[in-house]
Amino acid sequence: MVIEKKGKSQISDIDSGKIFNNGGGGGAGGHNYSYALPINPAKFGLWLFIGAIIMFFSALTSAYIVRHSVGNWLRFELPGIFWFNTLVLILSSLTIQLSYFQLKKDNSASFKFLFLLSTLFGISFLIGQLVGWGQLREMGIYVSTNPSSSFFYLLTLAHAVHLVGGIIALIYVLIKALLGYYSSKNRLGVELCVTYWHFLDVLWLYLFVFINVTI
Amino acid sequence: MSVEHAAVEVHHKESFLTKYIFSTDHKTIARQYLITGIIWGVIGMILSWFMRLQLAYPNQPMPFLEKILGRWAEGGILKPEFYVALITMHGTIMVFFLLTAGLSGTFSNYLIPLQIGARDMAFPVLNMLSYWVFFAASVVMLISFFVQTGPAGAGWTMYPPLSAIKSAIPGADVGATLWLISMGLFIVSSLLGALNYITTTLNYRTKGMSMWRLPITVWGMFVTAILGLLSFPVLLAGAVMLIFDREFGTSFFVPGGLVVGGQPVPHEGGNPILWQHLFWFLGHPEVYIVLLPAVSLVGEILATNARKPLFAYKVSVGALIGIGALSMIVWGHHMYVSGMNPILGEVFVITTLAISFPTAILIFNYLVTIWRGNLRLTPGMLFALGFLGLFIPGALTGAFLATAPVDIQLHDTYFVVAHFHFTMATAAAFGMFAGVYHWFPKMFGRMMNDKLGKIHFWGTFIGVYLIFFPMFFQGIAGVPRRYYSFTEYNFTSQFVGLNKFITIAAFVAGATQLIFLFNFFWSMFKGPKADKNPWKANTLEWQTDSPPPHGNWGPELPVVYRGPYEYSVPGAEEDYIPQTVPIKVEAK
Ligand code: HEM
Ligand SMILES: [Cu+2]
Repeated sequence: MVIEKKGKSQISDIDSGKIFNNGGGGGAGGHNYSYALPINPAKFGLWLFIGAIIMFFSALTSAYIVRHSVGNWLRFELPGIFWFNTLVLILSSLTIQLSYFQLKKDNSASFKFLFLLSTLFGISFLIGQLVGWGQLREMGIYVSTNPSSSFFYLLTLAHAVHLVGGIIALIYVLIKALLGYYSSKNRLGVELCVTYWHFLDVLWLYLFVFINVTI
Repeated sequence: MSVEHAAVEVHHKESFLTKYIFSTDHKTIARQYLITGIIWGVIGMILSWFMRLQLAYPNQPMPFLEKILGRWAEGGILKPEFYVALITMHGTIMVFFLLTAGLSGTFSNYLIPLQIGARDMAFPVLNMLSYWVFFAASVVMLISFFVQTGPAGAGWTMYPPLSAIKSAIPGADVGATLWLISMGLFIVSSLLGALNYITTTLNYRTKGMSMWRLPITVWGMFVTAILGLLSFPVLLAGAVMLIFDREFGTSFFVPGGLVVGGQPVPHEGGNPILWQHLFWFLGHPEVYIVLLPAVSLVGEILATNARKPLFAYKVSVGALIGIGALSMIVWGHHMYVSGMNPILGEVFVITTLAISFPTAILIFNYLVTIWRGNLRLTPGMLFALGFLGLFIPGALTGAFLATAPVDIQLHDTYFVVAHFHFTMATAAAFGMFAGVYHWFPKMFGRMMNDKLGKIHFWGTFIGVYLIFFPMFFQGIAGVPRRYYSFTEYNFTSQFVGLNKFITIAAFVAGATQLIFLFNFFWSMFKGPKADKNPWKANTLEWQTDSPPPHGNWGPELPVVYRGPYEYSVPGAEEDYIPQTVPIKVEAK
């Protein structure tokens, strides 16, 4: 009858009440919330947020499928730069994961370097997208040209907006990292960034495959 | 992210600004939501009065209207385009700003941490942001009343192409843009709230507070938050696409070949039905986002004031979850007449009728809970009973609407208006009133006046019936909703007398709300001081001070030993045993 998860359920020391202090005054640090999930609350919150974003993009891509099946769908060649961008984003996902491994081993210098590299990759992806949109416009393909281009701009823009949020988070964590804030014992902020960044990567791959199959 | 160390002392100094304005305390945020919600409720009600005046006295000049509304009522006669704007804003404000943000924002924020024994939400800063983003959404919505072309005017459902083509009606111009921006902010705010409610419920329950010991209120808010998290993003997606159609010339929702004001519309190939799917994918869960907090507040209040355990607690929780899950797959019942495949329509008929089962089970459990109970008719209890008296007829009419062949006749008539005002609008408002009366002592540390509360209840309950029950008959007779005036045809003009009657009832019921407002604000400062547990209730929030201190509990968190509904336990000294009382005491 009682759903209890003894033992593993306790929020571990680094994660608990210190950063997301539950209750301005009191603080949860000294108490055990006996039923906490075996995952840090902040990470759990991030996953919920990711769930909401998935719903958002499911709605957009369902609309895409519906509209695509109606016809009057102009096919156009995607500029090659979008393939290049995809590669850059995958690379950034790799480097950020590596940087996280380095942090775990307390290799501070290579952690910072790889994290910086990931941030730069992220920014290059964004710039690459801007260039790609520019090339499309030069080809005469605007947002209102055809449903296919409308959806293309809509999906890539929506992804870019979420990516800008990710880059802001990366820069924020990068600054703290450069100030020597993180260590293998204190890495929650980095972990959140890494998770979100991988999600953005996977999301892009999904959208990109989706677009390539239909455009 | 500042590193705060767990401090033993509970109070710390706060400035006025951090205590009352930019507070991260869930209790303050709840009160901010409540007050903002009440303001929106008053605005929404006043808008409905203008609509009722027009329906009762069509084409009759009422010079005072021009004084209030200016160019919207030149010569004292309401303009048709302003009438549709009124409908739109009334619906939007009541559904989203009062009964979603006002209701969930107040009670999820207030009750979740207190009833699970936490000190605050999981992410207090996000929680504060949630309120302030909602505030920004409110400001934008309010501004839309004052722009040249007036507020949005395509209905709270914002169906394109009307909402997608700026020149279609004045209300599709800047007003609609502001509506979309405001709703975008609103969705962000509700997501921030939902993140908090879910994470807090799952992670910050105190020792002994297993899921099956949660008060039904927490379950209700929890399911609501999940619904919001999954369905609001879909509306956001639709809203973004609509913004694209309006601003960047895309044709997601606008079909080709439209002519507006003699001008052909450049869009082509869009599909307005797509918007209906995206809208109702949120829209139907949304009505349960409104209902579930109310219904769970009511359950808690019924059990407390009947001095009986909530009947079949686990089944009721299961029903709440069942309603939540099913509500995600019934949206098509709003679209039977949209030309959808009849077989698909039939699927939606089945899922919609299926949702009546958990709903009926829940209500049945509530009725058994009060059956032969020792009822204490506090104003909160009266409103909880009133909830049942409104929800049951409303939900019964839902079964008719759910049946596609019947709905083809009833769709977009006053029957639907009556249906959703019973189930959603007034029932949820009654749930909210019940919650306010019941938890006011905890929130503000003072009691509300009992007599005024009862007068408020009877005036409102009778008023609501007089207003909305006749609309069932109007709807069956075929009177369409969202019409500016009903003078042209016999089958509608026969109801002019009835419309006058409804309008008078609306004004009387509206005036009754002044009693509530007076009672609320007067008691806040002048009411008699409340003690810890004025209702002799079991749940945790009643075991701490009224109002609870910052951090909610003293240095130690409460420990829970039992379920929330041990009322009138045979052999116990008193007719209630708070959740914090250890089991051993009982054993002797
Ligand atoms: C319990 C069984 C219920 C059933 C079977 C049901 C069924 C329906 C159906 C079929 C419609 C569409 C009618 C039409 O537009 O032609 C409808 C409209 C509506 N229902 Fe329900 N309903 C139920 C309960 C509720 C509840 C509990 C709420 C709110 C808390 C609610 C709120 C609404 C609203 C707001 C609309 C109209 C929306 C609009 O067109 O503006 N209903 N209902
Ligand atoms: Cu519905």
